[in-house]
Parts: sequence; C-alpha cells; structure tokens
Amino acid sequence: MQDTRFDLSAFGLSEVARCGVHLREAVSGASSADAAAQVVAEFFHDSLVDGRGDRACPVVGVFLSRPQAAPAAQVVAGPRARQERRLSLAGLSGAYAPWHGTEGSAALDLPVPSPEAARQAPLAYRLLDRLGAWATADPDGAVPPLSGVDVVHVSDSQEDAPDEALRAEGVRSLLAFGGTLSPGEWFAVVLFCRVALAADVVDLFSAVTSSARLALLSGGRPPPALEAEAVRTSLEDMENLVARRAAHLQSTVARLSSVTADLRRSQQELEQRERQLRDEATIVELLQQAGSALAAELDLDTLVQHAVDAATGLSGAAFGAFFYNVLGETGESYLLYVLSGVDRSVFDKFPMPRNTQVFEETFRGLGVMRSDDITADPRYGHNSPHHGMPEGHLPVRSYLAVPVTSRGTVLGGFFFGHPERGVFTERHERLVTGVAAQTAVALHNAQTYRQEREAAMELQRHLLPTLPRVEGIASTSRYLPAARDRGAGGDWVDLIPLPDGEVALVVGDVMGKGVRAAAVMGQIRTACRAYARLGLAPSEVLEHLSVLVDDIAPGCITTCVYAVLDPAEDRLRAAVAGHLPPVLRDPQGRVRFLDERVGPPLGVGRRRYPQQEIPVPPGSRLLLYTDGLVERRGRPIDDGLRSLRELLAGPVGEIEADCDSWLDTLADGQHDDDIAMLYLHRPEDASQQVSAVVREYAPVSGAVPDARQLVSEALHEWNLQHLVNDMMLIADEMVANAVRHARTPLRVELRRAGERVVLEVTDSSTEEPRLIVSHPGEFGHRGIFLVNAIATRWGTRRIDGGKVVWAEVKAS
Amino acid sequence: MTEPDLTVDQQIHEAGPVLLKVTGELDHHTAPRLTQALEDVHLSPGTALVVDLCDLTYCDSTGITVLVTAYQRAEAAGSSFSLAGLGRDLTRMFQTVGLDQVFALHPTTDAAVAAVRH
Repeated sequence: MQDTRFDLSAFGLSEVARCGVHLREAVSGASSADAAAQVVAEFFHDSLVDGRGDRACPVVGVFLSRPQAAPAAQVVAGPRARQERRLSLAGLSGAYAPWHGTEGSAALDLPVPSPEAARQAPLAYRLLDRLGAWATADPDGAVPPLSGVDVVHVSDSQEDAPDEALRAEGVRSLLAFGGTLSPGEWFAVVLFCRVALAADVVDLFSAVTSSARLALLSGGRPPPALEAEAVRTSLEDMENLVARRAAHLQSTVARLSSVTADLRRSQQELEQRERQLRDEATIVELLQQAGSALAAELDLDTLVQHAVDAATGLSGAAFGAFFYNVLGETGESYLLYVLSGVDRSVFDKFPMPRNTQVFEETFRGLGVMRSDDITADPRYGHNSPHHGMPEGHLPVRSYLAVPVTSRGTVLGGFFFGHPERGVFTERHERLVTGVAAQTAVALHNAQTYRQEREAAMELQRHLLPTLPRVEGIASTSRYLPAARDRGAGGDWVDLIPLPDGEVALVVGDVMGKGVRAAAVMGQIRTACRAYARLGLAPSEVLEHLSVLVDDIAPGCITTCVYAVLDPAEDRLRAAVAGHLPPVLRDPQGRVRFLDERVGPPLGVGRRRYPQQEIPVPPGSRLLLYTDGLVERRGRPIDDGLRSLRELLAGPVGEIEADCDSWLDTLADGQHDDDIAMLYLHRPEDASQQVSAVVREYAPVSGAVPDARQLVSEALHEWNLQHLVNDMMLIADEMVANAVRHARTPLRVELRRAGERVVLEVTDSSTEEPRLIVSHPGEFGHRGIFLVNAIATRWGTRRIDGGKVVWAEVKAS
Repeated sequence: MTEPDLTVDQQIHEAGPVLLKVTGELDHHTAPRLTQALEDVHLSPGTALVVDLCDLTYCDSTGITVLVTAYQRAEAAGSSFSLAGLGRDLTRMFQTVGLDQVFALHPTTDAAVAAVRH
C-alpha cells in the first residue's frame, strides 16, 4: 500500500505532487461536492503528519461558499432580487466544538458577508474576503471572473492565533487555502496545525490549493470544460511553483557559492596573514635569542663561534663561515675565520680569501649578496689563479654573504654556501642580516671590553711584579680581575723578604675601580715595601700607611693586612686594617681566621692598629686574600667564608693546585670583584721541600716521549717509582695536547711537594682543554679523559700569554 | 731527543690469521707507524687480524685511537680483529676508557688464534 502520509516538517515539491494524486484518488467515489468536501477534510486530517509521524492537524474544515439555492418563495420575489450567498462547512474532520452544530455535523451554514460568519469562521472568511468572494455579486447575477488562489497562515505569534481550546490540543498555527471552485462558487480549506509551518511550506500550499479544487470539482460532476480548466490551472500552479523553487534554489546556490568564495578568500587571506605574522614572530624570536646570546658574550673566540653557529642555523646553509678582522698587539690587522657545519680541516688547505669580485662586495661592506647560483653570477670566476672556487672546495651553488659593519668600519663578513641552487630566500637574508647587526654590536662590545681589560691587566702587571721565592717557604699568589668587569682593580698582594730571615706578607684592597684605584694601589704598595724594609712592626706599618692614604688619596678607603712571618721563632705578627682576616691551617689540619683584633681601614686618619701574634709551626699553611674570593652577589659573605674554611680544612696538597682548585670552587669564573690571593706553606722537614724539574720543548711529536722520559727519571730519583706509569701517561697526554692543539713552544714542570706530585704543562694558547667522554667504540678525545681518570686533581689556569694545564697525583 | 722506539712485524700465522707484533712504545710520536702497518694489512670478509701487544711497553690515548680505527675498519670489512698479550698496565688503561668491552682481548696470540678458529 502506498504511503499516503505527508510530513509537514519536511514538505516539499514531491509531497505537493503526490498529495494531489492521492487527493484525487480519495475523492473518486464521491457523489457530490459536499461528499467530496468531507473526503478532502478527512484526507488532510489523516495524511498530514509531523516529524514523528503523529497527526499534524487535529482539525480540518472545508468551507464552500455558493449562492443560496433559491426557495420557491424567493423565485417568486423576482429575478432582480439580490442573490443571497452562504458560507457552509461542507466537510469537517476532527473535534472542534464551535463548528459542531447541536444536531450533528456540518452545522455551520451562515449568510455572507456577515459579522457572524467572520466571527465563526474567521480564517476562511478572511481568505475568501481577500479573494473577493462576495464583493463581486452584482445585481445582474453576472458570474465573477475566476480568480487565483490564496493561502493565509496564522502562526502562534500573530494576533488571531489559535484560541485556548486549540492551544490545549497543541495547535500552533492555522493555515487556510482556497479560491474559486467554479464560476460563482468558492472554497476554503482550514487546517489547525500542531506543526509550526515554515514560509516556504506555506508557499507550497498554493499548488495544494489547485489539487484540492480539482478534488472538490470531481465530486460534483463538473462540465468537462471546467474540469479541463481546473487541471490546466493546477498544472500551471505546479509549474509556477517549480519555477519559483528553481529560481529560489538557483539564487540560493548563487548566493551560497558567492558566500563560500568570499569565505574561502577571507580564510586564505587570514591564513596568509597568520603565516606572515607567525613568520615575523619567529624571526623576531630567533633574532632575539641569537642577540641575547651574543650580547652576553665578551670573549671574542666564543662570540664569533656563537655568531657563525647562530647565523648558519638560521640561514639553512650547508655550511657557514665568519671572517673577521682582528687587531694584533702592534696594531696590525689580520683576518681570522670560524666555521659552522663543517670541520676546519676542510678549509685549512685553502689560502685566505682575497678581494675577488665576488668577495669584494662583502669585505668592503658594500651590501648583502644573495645568489641562487653563484657560478652563474657575472662577477664569478674572474680572478686567477683559481677562477672560481679552488680545487677541492666544498661545492657551492646557493650563496649568501652579509657584511658585518660597525660605524662604517667593516668588522667582518658572514658567508654561507649550499650545494643546491636557490636555497636562500629573502627570509634567510633577513635573518642573517639581523644576526650580522647583532654580531657587529657584540663584536664592538667585546673589542672595547678586551682593550680596556687588557689595559687594566697591563697596569696590574706593572704594579704586581712576580713575587720572590723565599728559602724554606713555598708560596704562590694569584690575581684575577673581575670576571665581568672592566678596568683595573685596586687589589694587591706582596711578599717582601726582610734582612733577618723574616718575611713580610701583605694583602690589600683599594676601594674603587679603574686606573685611579690601580695608581693609588701602586703608591701604597711601594710605600709599604719601604716601611717594611725599615723593619717597622705591623701595627706601625699600618699607622704610616693610613696617614699616607689620607695624604695621597683622601677618602679613598683601603683595607690591608700586614704580617711578618718569623720562621726561626715559628710565629706570625699581624695587624689588620678593616680587611677580611687571613686564614691559618696548623699542621694538625685545624683552621682559624686571624680575626681577633681588627683595626679600621686605612685613610681614616692616624691611629694605632692592634697587633696579634700567632704561632705558625712548620706544616702550617697561611692564606691572605681579598674579598672577591668569598663575596658573590646573592651569597652572604659568611657563606663564602664558611666555604673557604671548609676548603682549607679539607685535603690540601701542592700549593699551586690548592689555589687553582679553591678558585674553581669559590669563584668559578663568576666573581664580581677582583681576587688577589697570597698562599704560603711551611714544609715540615727537608724531605718535604719542594723539588722540581723544568724542561722546555718545541711543539713537535718528539716532545711526547722526551717528556715521558723526563718524568720517569725524576720520579726514580725522588724514589717514587710507583707513580711512574701514571705520571708518564699524564705527561704524555698533556704534552701531546699542547703539541697537537696549542702548537706553541711548551714548558713542562714536575714538582714534588711532600706527598704530592704535580705536573704542569705551559703553552701559549689560551684555548682550554675540555673533558670529553668518548664512547668505547669512538676514536679520539681520550687524552683529558685519561688524565681525569688518573689524577687526584687537575685543572687549567690562565697566565699572561697562555695557560697552564696541571695535574696532581698523591704519592701515598 | 730520544730515538723513536716502535717496531711492527707482520707474520702470517700457520692457522691463517694475520699477526702484527707491536714492540716498544705507542704514543703520539710513534702512532703513525702502526697506523701505516695496520692500513697495509689487506682485510676481507672471513680474514682475521691479531695484534700482539705483549712487548708493547707503553700506550697512550693516541695509540688507543689507532687501535679503535683499525677495529672499525676490520668490522666494516667483515674481518675479525683481536688483541693479544696485554700487560697489567695496558689492561688497566683499557678498562679505564672502557675498551675492554669493545676489543676481544686474549692473554696470548695462540689463545687469540684459537678463538678466531672457533
């Protein structure tokens, strides 16, 4: 059985068409127009459903409006009498009290036009009124012209919405449709719907109206011409409807597609903009990262390597180089380079690049050069002897070169290469140009810093000559300028042998920075030496110095320790002027600070300084130092002093090694202030006297076995055969490192101090060895690893014009 | 300057493996000689190379690098590589750098050759 139910919530063209067919089938047996009207009412009542398949219209009424059948009396009244019309409810399906008469169904039958009819069947009345159903009746009884159909829809929100009773039924809207049935007769179908009808569904009912008319007509055996006309009208309505729908669809599709295109376009624009912004942000972020890393770097070698690594990473190059100009000690300029992405050995064999047509652009600072294929560049290949890249050069097609300039001076240039064409984009260029600008600033900073620092160090060197060696006492000193500061400090230490075998020990600190502090320090130090040689007692020396400071540098606060060690009497006399107390370790390993009687700093007028006397038996160790050793930003000075006490109380060894490892622990290259140290050891007996062998070597591989032999012979002589193997291996690795990497003349010193043996290798390179842990299957980098594994301690200290790598081994 | 003190003798063991006997001190200075001798040995799949170190009195990190390089070359060629006759000091050093886990170490050349044949 065919499905004759139509879902009003999904009512479309095909529903309209099917509805017409079924409607006509349903009325096929109807014998009169009234019978057909009842069938039509039942049809809509039964067939229309909501989205869930439930009845959509609880009440359906079909109204017919026609001239009143003339009773005999009225016929008598004459043809000219005004013809009466009535509106009657010809079909009703569903329960709706106002429309049920007291004597059965279809009780509604009222003359029209009349207020009564408008009140009882408001919607049908309004519809027919709008179509002109009664206004047209004229005295001649002329047939009113066939008019179109109409649809009236009243939704919940409108004035004449369903009344309370209907609402209780769930009725949410009223729909009336109708029109001319046959000349002079009208019809109207009223649906009480539980479904809220959409506007386009309401529109569809104009075609349903035609079908309903056909159905109603077929019940009353209409003249064939009328029926044909009704069919034609129905078809036309359907066609019109389809055409309207199609046009509507078309315009909807057109609007949709234009909206879609707009959306797509704006989405693309958004995406592109977002990409640009992201890109921009990434560039800024990358440059910021590179910039902050560079700005923080003051060491030139590290700086240039950071710069080339950062720029190469950002450029997407296969490899990159940074060539930079350096001023030598005598003011001559020479060119150095660092590489990234490729081992230095690849370029070692080539001479330095010259001002060829390609390089000139960069070396003269003329501008950025970016080429998708440098070998196709007109400037390429014109210079002899290579006419392009020298034989064995890494292949380069894509080329990018950016000069690094500062205030009109070319400091250097970045060069990037890639074996494929077209690798470098505008973005790469922007990134590298950004790094180049930051590199220029950082280079300038580093050079300024280095110059000032060197000047300060130079001054310090002149003012702090090497301390003399004293018989029976092992001593060493250190001076380190502040790690992140420029300018000379006012720290000094001094060791002055006195005529009667005594030794004066001095440490001092002129407050302030720069050349003035250094100059004041120099004067104080010289005066102090003079007072020392006069044989003045420590308290007297400080008293004189205080007056001197008042004279030469009023207000320049200076702290100082002056002590005299008398080895014959095993005692130390010391006076302290506002300085951190010296620290003493006795032969039993007990540690004390000499802080019992501390006087005010120098430069606050003439005053007496208290003097203390401390026993210093053989085996004692004494450390004088300035505050830079223990003071650190963000660390209380007491913590520094406690660490210092712990270090001295711990295992101690050879004095140089002690100094270096304490400096590593306490300062670790981060000290905010200058550090000066004077460290002494009184050996307990002659066998613990320091003995040493020293030999210098050229940087050739033969130095390695020679140094081993030196070590072996010395240890046999010192009766320390059991250390031969370890020390030979240490000497071998340290000398081989110097030969391989420093390539400068080197000096090997082996010292014995009591239970310790220390080997020092001095070379003229400032590059420090690093501990690298190789996996067993890898080759190389095992030298320092072995030293680290064998030695008790090892380390590096920078000295003028180079460095010392040292390693200490315990004899017992 | 001390005269360089390293010799390398190549023999073919009757059982097949190539035998390199290294005598003297192996360091930065003498390492190139052993490197050359090791490179001269033809390595192919199935062949075996035994380096006899019982008369090696000294070896430093450069020497270790030479041996690691040779070991890697032998591995790549599908050839076996073993060390024989390490003294106490050398064994300790090999342990220090973790190479006792990489190299096949044998007390004598005979033991090394026997191990190869298995």
